[in-house]
Amino acid sequence: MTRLKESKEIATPGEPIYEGQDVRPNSGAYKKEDKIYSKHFGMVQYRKNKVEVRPMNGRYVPKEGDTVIGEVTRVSYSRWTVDLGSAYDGNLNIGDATDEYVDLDEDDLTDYFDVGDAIMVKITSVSESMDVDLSMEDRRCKKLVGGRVVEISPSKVPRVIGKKGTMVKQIIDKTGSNVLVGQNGRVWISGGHENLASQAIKKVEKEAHTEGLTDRIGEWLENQKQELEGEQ
Amino acid sequence: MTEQEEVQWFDEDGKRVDGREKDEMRETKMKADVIEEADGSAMVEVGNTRVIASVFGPQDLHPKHLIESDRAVIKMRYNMAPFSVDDRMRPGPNRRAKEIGLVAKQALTPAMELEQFPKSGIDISMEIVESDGGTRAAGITAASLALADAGIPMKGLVSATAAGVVDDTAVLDVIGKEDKEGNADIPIATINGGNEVTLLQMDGDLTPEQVDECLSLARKGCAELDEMQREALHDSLTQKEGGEQ
Repeated sequence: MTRLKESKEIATPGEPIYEGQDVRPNSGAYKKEDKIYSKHFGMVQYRKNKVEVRPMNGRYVPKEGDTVIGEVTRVSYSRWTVDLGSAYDGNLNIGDATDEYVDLDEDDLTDYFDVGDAIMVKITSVSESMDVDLSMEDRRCKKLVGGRVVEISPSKVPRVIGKKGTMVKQIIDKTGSNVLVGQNGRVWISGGHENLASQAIKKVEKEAHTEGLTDRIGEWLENQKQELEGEQ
Repeated sequence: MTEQEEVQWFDEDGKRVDGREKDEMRETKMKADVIEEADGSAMVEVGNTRVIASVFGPQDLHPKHLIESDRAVIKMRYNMAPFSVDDRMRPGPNRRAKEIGLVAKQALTPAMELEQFPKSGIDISMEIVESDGGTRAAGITAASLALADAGIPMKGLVSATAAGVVDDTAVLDVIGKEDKEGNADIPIATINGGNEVTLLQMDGDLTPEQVDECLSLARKGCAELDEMQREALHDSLTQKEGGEQ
């Protein structure tokens, strides 16, 4: 019946966040007797009659439907192994990668993706034993040529994207870079003021838990840009 | 107990060799997120004892035969720096370090939800920079803080301290001298500073009454440490805000 922690408040593991029977614990929270406790060091969020705690840090755990940026680590006979910055690697089968006909004995798979290539892929399924299947059959999926990949904490990704994509749109507009954000905390930046864009993303990560961030980043980008142009 | 020279453990006011009360902890400082490269890290200073803990993972586990199909495996490392004690410590793992690594792992496991990361491994390392008694306790406290910083789901934070007996009197948070020359010491770890005890060791001779006294002292100490751990986690956020403009 009593909220011991409100939404957006920070909770630590084992700290009580709610007392009563009418709210159920969602991810990141557990119930013991009549209290709900946090499992994470993170931010409390109430949704209808559920409460969850989103961790401040932590590695990416593959989830079905996520679009992520991966690095090819192995090329096998008919598939690629892709590192997703997680404890679990992804598998991309040739059939899910291209619509073209590929003769496995004749064609070289490295013509498509080679070891070290960065690709944007979609996670189609995650089995109970954490086997991750990937696919390129999505509008956003492609091989990422040129540019750079910066890594941030996966829990900060929603902040980098912003409400309805406002944050990332602002960074794209103000730096002239092409920015793609993977749910696994990898961000691909290409063209324009690449340095500025990557600094801005790092800044968002660092200040993710503060209010009014979109406006602040906007101002900061403007200032930095003026400085850059002043130098030239 | 030394035969050749009687140590005076308490002065006229009942204060201990380092000027503390019997139930007083040493001055303790904690800081989370001290290592950039690690997924989680923490530093804990209890008096002169100083420990840095780091957490990497969940990640690929090597060697492969250690993999468990339904949960993550913890690899725990306890290491004392060569300069952490008064006489140079021979570097590398020894019997004592392996044992402490094992008990520390057993102290932390009940608080962690390892089932969420099948087939993976979590590397925890406790580096003893300076040692003055209670390194395993400080190590567990630091490791738990580092795990929280790494975003690993846990039932609660684990805090640990040691109580001991010197001159037939129970005291809290023994320093190196009290540990080595006193009658006994009991390190203990609890989850959330509460009733769940995850580590309990004993070394020396003491009476059943003294055991009870030590336990209640140590649990009070754990509750204090638990508060400090939570404070340190909150502080790790404000540090970031203040830094780099």
